[in-house]
Amino acid sequence: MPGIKAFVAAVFGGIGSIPGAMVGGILLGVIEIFSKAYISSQVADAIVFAVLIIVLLGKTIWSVRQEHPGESMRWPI
Amino acid sequence: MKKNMNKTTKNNFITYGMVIAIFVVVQILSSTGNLSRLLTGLLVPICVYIIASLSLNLVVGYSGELSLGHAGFMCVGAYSSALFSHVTSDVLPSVPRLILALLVGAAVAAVFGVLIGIPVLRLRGDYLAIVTLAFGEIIKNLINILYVGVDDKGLHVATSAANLKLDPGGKQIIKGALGVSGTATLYKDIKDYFFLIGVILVLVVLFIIQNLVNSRSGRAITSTRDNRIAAESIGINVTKNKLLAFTISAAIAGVAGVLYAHNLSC
Repeated sequence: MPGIKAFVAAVFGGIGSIPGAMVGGILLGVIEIFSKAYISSQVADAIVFAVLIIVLLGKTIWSVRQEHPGESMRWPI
Repeated sequence: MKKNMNKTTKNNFITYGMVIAIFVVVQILSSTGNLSRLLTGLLVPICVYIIASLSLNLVVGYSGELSLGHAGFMCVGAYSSALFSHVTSDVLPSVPRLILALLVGAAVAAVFGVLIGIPVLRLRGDYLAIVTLAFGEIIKNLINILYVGVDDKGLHVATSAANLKLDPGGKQIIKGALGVSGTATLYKDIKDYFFLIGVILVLVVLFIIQNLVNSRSGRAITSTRDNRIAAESIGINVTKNKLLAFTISAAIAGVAGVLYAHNLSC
């Protein structure tokens, strides 16, 4: 599990960027501890991964929007 | 062998023949008493992991997407089919129940494959790997807190044993982190044939995958792997084909999960 989370943190901050990996690690740890404290300790890991998925999808959609302005993404398929 | 058979068909038959040959050798060894207890216990798990690796090969090898979340699909298939087997254990005899359980496991895993595949297949490379891994972990995490029980009123679903509120006489089926127990004991009468069932499933999965790969959609899938832009330029719907490979692969992983769950004897 720690190895997986380190990998997730590295991707979170952008693969290949050292400051990004550090910021990603700190953010991931903060999100995990806050969800443990305020939401549920059982599903904390699921929440961390859900946040990661939302961030990555948002990033991808945003970069597509930047590349092709005015063009909407055909969502379902 | 017929002379007009083409090379692909010949290769497919050689593959089936190898599987059948291994099955025959193992049966001979087992009937002459040359198979240790350890190896006998490993036969069905071997089939499970063959099916799981075939499904992973479809998505990583042919579709070219590194998916790290196939354990999640196996898990979904295993749990849904075990639940199905427990619920219908009084209604159906064991052979049709196992067949239906296989279909249920494959169908539920395929639904999860579509749901996860639609957002995930928009990503590339590292991001796709990490998001499938994340979905696998989410599935594992949610199933670890899932409690399902059954009584006269029907199914009860909760996140802890106390919230289940079963009537007296009801039984818990999925017990959170303890999982589902006693699925294999529901199939006592066909327990000895599980290796045969596993080999048949391996053959069916091989048949499906080899026919898919050599079909029009299979060539579309490999062409999107080799050169996405060229495939798009000749009118191949890249996302649709990737989703097709991902969904079929998830369904096959679900089948592996069904076999795994029904062989687990504790």
